[in-house]
Amino acid sequence: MKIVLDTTVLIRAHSRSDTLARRLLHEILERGRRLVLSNEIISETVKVLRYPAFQDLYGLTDADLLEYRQFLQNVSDLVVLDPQYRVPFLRDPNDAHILQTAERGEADILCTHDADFHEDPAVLSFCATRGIEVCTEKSLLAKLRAA
Amino acid sequence: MMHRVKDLSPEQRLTVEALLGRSVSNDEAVSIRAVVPATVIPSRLSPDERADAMRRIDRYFARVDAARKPVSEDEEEAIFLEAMRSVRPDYRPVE
Repeated sequence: MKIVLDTTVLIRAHSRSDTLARRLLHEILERGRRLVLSNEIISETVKVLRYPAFQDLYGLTDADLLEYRQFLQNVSDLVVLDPQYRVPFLRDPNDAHILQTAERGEADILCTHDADFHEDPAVLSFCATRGIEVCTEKSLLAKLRAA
Repeated sequence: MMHRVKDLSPEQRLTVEALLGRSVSNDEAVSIRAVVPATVIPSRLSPDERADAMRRIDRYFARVDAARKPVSEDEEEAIFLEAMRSVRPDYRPVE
């Protein structure tokens, strides 16, 4: 099973020790599932973690951010994205790298907290025709534990 | 297959120079190969290395937990939203 975790999930792993996102990382990596990411998702994650309000909350150092980046790069299958990729129907063009990672990485599941992926019929149809199921952290965790 | 530059037609020579981004001389030879670029670079970690990576990231998260300022869940959610909108201005979290 190939699973894409969106930036919205990867940053939430920093939230609390019992956070769903952190448990998801464990479930995926300890049970032999494939975590599928791209350098664009990882870079976006690090950029969000560098955001001043986040820095005030967590005080992450450059060494911390490098450690998290290297962890994600090492444990995941990295999709090489096409800079020419276009998705004309996307409401938010800033979501394109997530969709492209899932499509080119032939993901079975895209786990995200971004409402566009859960509510936009065009995005849901695009994913469905490619065999990509869109999940929240909670629904994915339940699915993995039931499998 | 190697091609001597001196044996190339003028058109072929121009094409090779355009692809290489430099001029070529008659005493050189060129070889062109078509490859399919990798779309996915698989993780090369063994199961043991993956388990070790998980142990190290657990220590990382333990440090994060220890350093986190005591804020309410609502305050933390507000910071998540603000931070996500710094990269996706139209970001809306799913209900």
